[in-house]
Amino acid sequence: MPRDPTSSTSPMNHDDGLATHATAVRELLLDAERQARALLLDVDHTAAAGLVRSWPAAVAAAAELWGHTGDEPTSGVAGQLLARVAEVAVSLEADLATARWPGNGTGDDRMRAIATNLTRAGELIEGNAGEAHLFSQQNSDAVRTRAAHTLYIATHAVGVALKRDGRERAFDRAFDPNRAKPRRTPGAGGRSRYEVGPGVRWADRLGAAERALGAHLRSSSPIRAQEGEQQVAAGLPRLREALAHFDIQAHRTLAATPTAGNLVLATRTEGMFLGAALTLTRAAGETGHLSQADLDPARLEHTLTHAGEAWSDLASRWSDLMPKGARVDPALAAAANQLREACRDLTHDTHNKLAPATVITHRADLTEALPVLGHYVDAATELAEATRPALRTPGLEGPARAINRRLTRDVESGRIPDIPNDLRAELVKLAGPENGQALVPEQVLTGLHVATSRAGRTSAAAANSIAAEGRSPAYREQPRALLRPEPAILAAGDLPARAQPGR
Amino acid sequence: MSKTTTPDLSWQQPLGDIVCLLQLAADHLWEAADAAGVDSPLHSLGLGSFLAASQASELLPANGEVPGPSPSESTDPLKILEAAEQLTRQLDPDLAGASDLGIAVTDLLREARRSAA
Repeated sequence: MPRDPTSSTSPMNHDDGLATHATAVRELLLDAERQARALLLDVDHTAAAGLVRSWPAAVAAAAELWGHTGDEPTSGVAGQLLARVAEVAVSLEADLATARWPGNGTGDDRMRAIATNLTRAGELIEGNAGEAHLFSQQNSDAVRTRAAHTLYIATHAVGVALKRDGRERAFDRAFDPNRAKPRRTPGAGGRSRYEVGPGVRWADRLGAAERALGAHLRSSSPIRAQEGEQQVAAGLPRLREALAHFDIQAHRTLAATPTAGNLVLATRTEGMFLGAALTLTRAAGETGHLSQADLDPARLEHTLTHAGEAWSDLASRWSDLMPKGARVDPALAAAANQLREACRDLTHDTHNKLAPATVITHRADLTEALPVLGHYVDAATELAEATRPALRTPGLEGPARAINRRLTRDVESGRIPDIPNDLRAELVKLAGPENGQALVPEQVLTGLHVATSRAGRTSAAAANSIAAEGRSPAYREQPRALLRPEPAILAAGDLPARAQPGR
Repeated sequence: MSKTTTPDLSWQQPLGDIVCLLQLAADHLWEAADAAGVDSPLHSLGLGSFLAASQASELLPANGEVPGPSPSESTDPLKILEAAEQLTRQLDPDLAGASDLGIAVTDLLREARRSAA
């Protein structure tokens, strides 16, 4: 007798039904992730309050889902990390009831949709709890990871919204004529005033949950997840710390692994910093801080612009020699990222454009910032020299196509005389369809030496223009002399010893 | 006879493409930044793209292949970043670091969209 295909006792139909449930769970989780991605892409400050209100429900839904996948929620390292996230959500929800901000109001539809998907996926798993083969250990692990991944993205999005909310409030304060000029707030944990808003304490707590989720997904330990919790400094203290860290790390990395990738990263980061220094000193000029320090705005503008251009030129020349997919030292990448964020915090507005001087003044005391900038623009002079040993690497190679392009550009701009035809022909041959590697010709090495010297020389000039002997007590407190002799364009022995005919 | 299995390396393909695209976006952004001036916000965006490329490179095995950019690839950094962001969605979150990369690239794309607005 044929089986009834609709019968629930039909093994084939039963399996089909389970497969449908498994597919539905997967689709629900993928849809939740899509919504979390969309949220992160579009999130802005207006959503901050609603997102904070809705976040605990999303965590609760994820925690239930984890519970249904069979694991004890608190077992093992992963369980501890996820339990920590759940604890944060429970305590945050309890505080929401009495907090003045975000107060009563609606939640965020996108976060609610994520929570709904996680809840429905959990219910489907629970409804098939007896079907061990449907949700095997492997499947259960995948479900937990996908849910944690989605919650990680969504939690990060709430943090972004809270940060932007704080910056918008600071922007409003900066243009409020009834407000006095900001003063330092003792005991604010190193935060500048612009970050001290109602969302800050929520951001700190969500940050702990985000770190725990990240550690879970990286299979890190709970101890590692707590790292970084002390990184509360913002504004000028954050910039000072990031500059010090980058300066030390760049020297370490370039001494140990002077690859083209690391050189591009170090030189581009320095160029970005000089751009930030220009923005900050310009803001200082517009708000009267430069005249107080008896500094010449035109000279500062001129020297910092030249230094920034010199570093960009040096960086683009190292980019020529970088193979595709080149790796960089993760420690240098972390330091560069820290510096990028610290600069952006001071110089960018919420639309990723340069912030008006009035806003920048509210973010940092520019009188205090000037000697810090002077100190690290001066340090750039030494960093330029730290890039030079890489030019003496025996058999230094680079992609033939980029080398040929650089030579053409330098010839066209009159920086070098025309190059021999046999060198050009060899480079074209090496480039071929595969863009092979070529030994770096002498003309390109010389160009790099000159660019290095120019980066050092212009940085020294910029540092000297910021340094004002005895003009301000803040300058006198600097531990090292800012005034230094400007290096010559090319010192003896700077040029490569290797000199091959035509190269 | 013991059963042999071929390791699944399919995840390396989008990762290699992501590295390539992020590096390409960084190159275009820096070129535009150099033309725009020392204080251009594009310097920071280019650095962000380069850092995301290096983050993606770290997930590849030492001999992992990074393709060159396709000749038909857009030269608009925003479009390139959008393509990279789409590819990060193909990464399995079980791959340690994939979630961080997804967030980094999405943050970068949001930053780029606001810059372009």
